[in-house]
Amino acid sequence: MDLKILHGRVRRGWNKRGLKLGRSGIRALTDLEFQTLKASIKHDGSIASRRNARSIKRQLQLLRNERSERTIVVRRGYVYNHMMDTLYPNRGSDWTLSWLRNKKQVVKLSNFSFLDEPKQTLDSLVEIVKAECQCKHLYIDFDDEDCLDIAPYMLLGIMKQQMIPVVRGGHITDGIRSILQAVDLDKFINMRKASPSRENPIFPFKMRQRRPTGTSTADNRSEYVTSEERASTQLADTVNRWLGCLERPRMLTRNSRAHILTLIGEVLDNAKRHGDLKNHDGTWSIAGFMEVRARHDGTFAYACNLGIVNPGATIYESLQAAPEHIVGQLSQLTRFYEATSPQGSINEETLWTFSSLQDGVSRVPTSPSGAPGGFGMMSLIGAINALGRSSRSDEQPSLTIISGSSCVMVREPYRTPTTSRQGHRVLAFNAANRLDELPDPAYVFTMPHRLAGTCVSVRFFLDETELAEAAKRRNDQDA
Amino acid sequence: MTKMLDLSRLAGDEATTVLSGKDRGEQTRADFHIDALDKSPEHVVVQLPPNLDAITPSFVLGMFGQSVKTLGSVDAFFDKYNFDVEPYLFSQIRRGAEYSLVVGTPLPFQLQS
Repeated sequence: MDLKILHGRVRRGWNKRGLKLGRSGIRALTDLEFQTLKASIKHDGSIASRRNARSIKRQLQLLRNERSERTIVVRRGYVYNHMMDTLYPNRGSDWTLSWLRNKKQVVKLSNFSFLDEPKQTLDSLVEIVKAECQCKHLYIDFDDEDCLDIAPYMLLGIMKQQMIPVVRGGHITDGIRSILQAVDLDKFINMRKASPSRENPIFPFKMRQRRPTGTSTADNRSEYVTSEERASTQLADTVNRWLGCLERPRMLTRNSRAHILTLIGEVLDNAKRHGDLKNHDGTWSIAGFMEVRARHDGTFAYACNLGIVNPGATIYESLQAAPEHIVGQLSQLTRFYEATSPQGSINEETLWTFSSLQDGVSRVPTSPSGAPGGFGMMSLIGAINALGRSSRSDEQPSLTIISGSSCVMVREPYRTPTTSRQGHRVLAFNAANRLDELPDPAYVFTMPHRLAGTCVSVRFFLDETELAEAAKRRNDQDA
Repeated sequence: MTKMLDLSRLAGDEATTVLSGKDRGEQTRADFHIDALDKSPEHVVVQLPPNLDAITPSFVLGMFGQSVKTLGSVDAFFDKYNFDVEPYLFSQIRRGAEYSLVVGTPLPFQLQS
């Protein structure tokens, strides 16, 4: 943070950009943090610079003092952020100096879910980024009564780490508030209105982030548990704890637990290996929530929602580094589809992303040790299908993959792969499930904006009968 | 002759209930010298970490994918490597072993690798 001016006004001729930081922020610092902040104020040796540095330190001390009512202006220039600048490529050129901003804006988020409205949701995120670089005050109204998908909130949470604090508040419901707390957004957004508490509370799986890309020192060693394994185990334990806390306690079956562990293990492993093309050491974030939903017939549904964000290479970027025969196949397939599809409905990136779901299509189809690859995505889909075996049409599992500008929605009627004679699992997103026919554009399409990396949203419903039987078995054993 | 392959230390001192990741599987293969085991005439009893609830297909591919290829078939692999585990865990290992023999891709326009 570059401290340049401490008065609540702008001095002419300063070329740095700034933003306003309330005294509460200064007072919230620990003594050590405050001393570090003061020590970070440098001067270049000139008398004027020394005087300015002294003045800044004095002002800081005054602001830390309880009696002080003055505000502080902290100046920070435009900083490139891969996530935000990819969503809104004009962010740099549209950046308005913070002290010259007068605009106030309200962004309304409704159907904020990649599982339900991926285009609209990405548009909303772009709108927030646009407001961040132009507005003085931004109000975000969370209009959804319930959280439909945690992944976009995670993206918002990840972005806010680099956003300047323009968000001043907004309307929010109690259901969404729990989600914001889970993804650590609650302190960032000043919520000004809360609705009454929910009858069935949301049970969050707090956001976990892997260490930054390329910083591992002992990853994959056989004697150490990996971050992916740890996160998978924690998630399965969290689901079980949640089920145990219910009025009528439930429990995961061993099969369901295995499917959850497989699902998370595969998706996080993909993010780690393919998000960082150089070292197989990409980063990821995961969060989730579980809730009981009361059905109209008086019974209950046990919904689980997970979001996984990999801010590294997109699937398309990753596949560029695939061996020649894979790239050749994908290129030929693209030419074939482009010749048969309406112009512009689906681009190369989307076709490659969709193709990456099929068994054997991978950046590393055979590793140096001879092990074949490219089975992770279908294993993930298989695990979700096995977990969400509900007979109700409105409780079928669904999965949305957004990678770069591509969107692939795995859901009814295209969620069950078939196995070819050669043993490949195929999901072609058309009625015949044939890869030489175009995928349904309602389920595989190109988005108007790009996301940096890949975001996976998952929703599935646990089977009530299985959960009850598992809990009964455990009780019998305990007895 | 039967040999014991003790993988119980894979979990280290931490409580994990899943083995996942292709790279981790490959590293484990190297650490436990599975190449040499493949070539030896002995049968191998594989002991997995206690409390293990899942083993992902990617891990199985990384650790045993080359073994299945070397031995020629899934049945030959399970003749040599004996997993004394619960059925749901065994089916996960079997699925991973089966993928080891799947070659190429299902995409049209097959090119030579």
